[in-house]
Amino acid sequence: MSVEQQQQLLASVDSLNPEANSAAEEVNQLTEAVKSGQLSRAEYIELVKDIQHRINIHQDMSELETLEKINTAINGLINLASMV
Amino acid sequence: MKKLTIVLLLVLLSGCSLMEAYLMKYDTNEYQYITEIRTMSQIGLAKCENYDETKRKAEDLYIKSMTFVNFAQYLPYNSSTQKASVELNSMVQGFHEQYQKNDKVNPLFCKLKLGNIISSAESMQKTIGAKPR
Repeated sequence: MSVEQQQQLLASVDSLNPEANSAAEEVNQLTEAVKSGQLSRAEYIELVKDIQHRINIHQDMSELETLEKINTAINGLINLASMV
Repeated sequence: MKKLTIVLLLVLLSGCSLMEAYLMKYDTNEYQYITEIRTMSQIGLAKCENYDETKRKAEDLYIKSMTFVNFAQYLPYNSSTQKASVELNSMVQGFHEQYQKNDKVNPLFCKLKLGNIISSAESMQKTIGAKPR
């Protein structure tokens, strides 16, 4: 597949997940920047890798947020149980 | 006694995730490290045109980020922050390496890279700061 075909594929991404749409758009913008010589290939690769790192961090923090909510609920239940 | 019974029940019923949710704690040092990483990156963003200064700042940022990984690594009930700190450190390492390998670094790369680090660090700061006291 050519670069243009890959870009068309990315442009067609229309996910319900706004993060996925934003990531696809960002990769396309970076690809345009490397094609026009604004970024080197090494810089491009590094910045595209960052998108994956950011998605992973987002997932880890979503997981942590869930645990924080569970903590609040557990402590609330314990407090309620202690009052009975 | 009731509290102990409930806790034991929850631990028996669920497994690691629930136990982590109950036992995890806010850590001032952890919050400080992520705040410093974000702040150093924000300050660096304004200096991207200056290669020498940014090279020094990239070294400092990498040391700070690696310290954050090492600090979080053995804190108990901290798996999400441990994983995120490794991801963030990979981003910082990539920034640091560009300045180690090259005599000249594109200011656009510097700005985009630091922007990525800032947004990730801010998202981590927000969640780490909300850990139970």
